[in-house]
Amino acid sequence: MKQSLDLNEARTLIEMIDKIADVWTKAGGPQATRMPRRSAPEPSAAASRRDRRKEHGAGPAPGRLDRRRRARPPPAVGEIVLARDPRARERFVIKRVAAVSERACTLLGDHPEESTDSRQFGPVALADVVGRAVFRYAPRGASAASRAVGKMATWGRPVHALRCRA
Amino acid sequence: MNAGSTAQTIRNRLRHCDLPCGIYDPEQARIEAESCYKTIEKYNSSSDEHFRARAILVKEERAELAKHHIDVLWSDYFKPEHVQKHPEITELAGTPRSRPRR
Repeated sequence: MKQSLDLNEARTLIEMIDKIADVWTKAGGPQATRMPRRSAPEPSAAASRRDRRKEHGAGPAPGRLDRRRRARPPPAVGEIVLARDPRARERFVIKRVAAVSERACTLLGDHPEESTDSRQFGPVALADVVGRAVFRYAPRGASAASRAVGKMATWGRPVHALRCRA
Repeated sequence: MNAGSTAQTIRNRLRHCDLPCGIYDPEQARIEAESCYKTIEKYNSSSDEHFRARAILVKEERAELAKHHIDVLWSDYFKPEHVQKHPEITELAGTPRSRPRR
């Protein structure tokens, strides 16, 4: 037993509001108190970002981690970074930077025989590098290790816990 | 549109700012009314009773808002001189709809 609602009342309401709007316009309308509408955004900026997302399909929504992508300097060789896993972009990996080119970098784990890294998933786009390690909890001591540039300072001594700043 | 029980919930709702900021636009009410219209359409074309229950709820809520915005126009925007010049406005917007009874 399915009943329907009457659309007429709603239609009447809309028509009535339109009549009110007519009077409102005659009475001076917005009285120039409204701020001018910002002109339609150039198709380049906001729209193209949306388009790009559409093209890339159901990728993860650009979150807090992606926002400052442009402004960051590229990672340095030897630094430990947080990056999107190219195989599954909603996942993040923490790896040491082994080489940096113009648009991508090679990421290697500190534990060559255990790590899954650029040897498997290839270079990672710099845009996907979303953070860098700034503090190491463990192992304690050898604090220079996480900052060491150009060498795998903790090989054989995996870094257990890192705080990454995105 | 029947105010029904939603009239109770709207009683404590804050009104359009009474500074007054001077920004009054019937578009506000129109959007709510269009929302009512579409919601009723969706209600009629659905056979999911839960969806229909939600549609009713949204319809009532939007209807209250539409009435509220009309009331604000009437009480805050239109001045006696407007009523004098366009007496039809009393008929259109002047009838109290969601004004809570004190």
